[in-house]
Amino acid sequence: MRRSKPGQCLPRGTGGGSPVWAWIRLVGLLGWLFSAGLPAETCDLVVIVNPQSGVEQLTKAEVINIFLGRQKKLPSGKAALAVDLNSANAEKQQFYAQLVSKELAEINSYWARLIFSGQGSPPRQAEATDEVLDIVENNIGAIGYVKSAQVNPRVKVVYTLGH
Amino acid sequence: MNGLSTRFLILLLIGLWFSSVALAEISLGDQTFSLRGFGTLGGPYNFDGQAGFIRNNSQPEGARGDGVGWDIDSRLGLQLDWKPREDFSGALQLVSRYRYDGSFTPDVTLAFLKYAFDPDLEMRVGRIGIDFNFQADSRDAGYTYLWVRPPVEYFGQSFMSHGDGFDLTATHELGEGILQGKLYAGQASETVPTAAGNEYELDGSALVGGYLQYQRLNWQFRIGYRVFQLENETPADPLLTLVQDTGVPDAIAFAQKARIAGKRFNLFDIGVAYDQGPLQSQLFIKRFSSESITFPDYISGFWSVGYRIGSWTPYLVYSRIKSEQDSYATGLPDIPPFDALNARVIQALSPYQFDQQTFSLGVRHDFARNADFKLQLDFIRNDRLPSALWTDSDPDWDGRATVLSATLDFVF
Repeated sequence: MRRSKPGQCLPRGTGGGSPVWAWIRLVGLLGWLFSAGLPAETCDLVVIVNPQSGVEQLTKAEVINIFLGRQKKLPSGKAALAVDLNSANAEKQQFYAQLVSKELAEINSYWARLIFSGQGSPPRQAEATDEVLDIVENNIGAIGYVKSAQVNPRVKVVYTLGH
Repeated sequence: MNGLSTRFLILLLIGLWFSSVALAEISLGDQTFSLRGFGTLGGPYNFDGQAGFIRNNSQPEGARGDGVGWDIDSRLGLQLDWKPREDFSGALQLVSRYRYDGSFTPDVTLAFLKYAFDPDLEMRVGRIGIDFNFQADSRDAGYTYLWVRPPVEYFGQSFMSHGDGFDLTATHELGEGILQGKLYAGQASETVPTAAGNEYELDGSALVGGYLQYQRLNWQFRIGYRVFQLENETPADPLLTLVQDTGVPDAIAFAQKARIAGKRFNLFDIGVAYDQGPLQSQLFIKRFSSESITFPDYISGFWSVGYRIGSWTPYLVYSRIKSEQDSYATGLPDIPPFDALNARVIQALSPYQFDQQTFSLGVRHDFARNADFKLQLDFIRNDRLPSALWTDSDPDWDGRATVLSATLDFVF
């Protein structure tokens, strides 16, 4: 069973509609109500692009299509360079839980299918958020995700997860 | 059947060790070259000892109740990817698995160069996997799907796993989804065992096909069509020559209808997959039509549903194949001296008429980020015997079998 550690966001949407997860969500909600912790917005993940990319905002479907390798262009027509985080980062688990309600093992299995059929390769894996920001700032077609509190003026937010 | 060869077992264990020490996920990173692999260790136990259970008809001997059929599902694949540029890449894949000659000699299953004219238009040239059936081009990598093995009734009689040629893939955004089309053409280059214990060379057989699929959020729809033309004659050809040489007009016509060289075979498939968080389900149906009565027309399909609860995903699968029935009347009277010839012709051709269904229940446990364990119980009912989906079935076998399988899949 997954628990929220101090300073770490509990992924929303994980576990879909199972009763077990419904109870976990209820407990999480009560914990949030009675805690003086960080506001939820700090934990929100946002999808960011380069300000020169020509993209103003993305829909959830567009974010899914790009990060699952179905769409290799941004809506502006630029070649997309999706940047993921490696699994050492808690944000990755939160990102896929909120985006497609999937565990990382399932995402790994998904990419394994594309790799071993020779049809595609997964997004570039960054070591940490700083690297994501660096790549997005320096590549017009790059697209990544970070916590909203980590956004800087050199990147543009085009989608907020969980909203 | 022979046990798993020692060399193959050592290779598998090395692969398993690699998977435990490798990164917890597969990643391409920025490397120009990357070496990855996949493997499966495990197999079926067939509670019925009257016929050999096989995974597909590339396997010469099946599991028949004398222990775990390690050969059936165990395999190891290695893949070298080369990506010097974003728009240009290549891959080489070797897979060691139980094959037509009873050995685990590795086969080159992928060897292609890929060029992207545009991010939405890619071409591969070389040896490419054939996804004639939904996701069939990754059927050796057990980690990539829910079941112990792809449903036998749907995937088991498809003997082409790869071809030498090219494919062209185009994607286009349509609404909130992605429309993808693929065209491919090439030649087969494999050898498969036949129900009579011979081998059949697919070399030189031409295949052309394509599919359209539309993916939107949780839904995926697919429709595909392909045609292949076999180059070589059936191993039963000497029998057909004897039939033809009788000079009886009906017998001559029969022999011509039964020959397979130069004949065309068509496959049409349609299906839908739904994947919403913990729930995943697939329904696929295909129709095979043929210009030769040796491989009669059939319809096959499967429906699968799984629901993840934490790291466990229990699932159910129902799969079915049914051929159009043919009496294989040779046109010769069933009296001496023709009766023996008639019997031999029927014996040679009838295994390719199918009427089989399997109900499976199982569970996949993702105990690590790059490995899973699966347990599956199959209840099989075969109403048409003998069948090329089994090996060496006893004449008095009732066609019922229960098969319990356990496998460990990993990627590295």
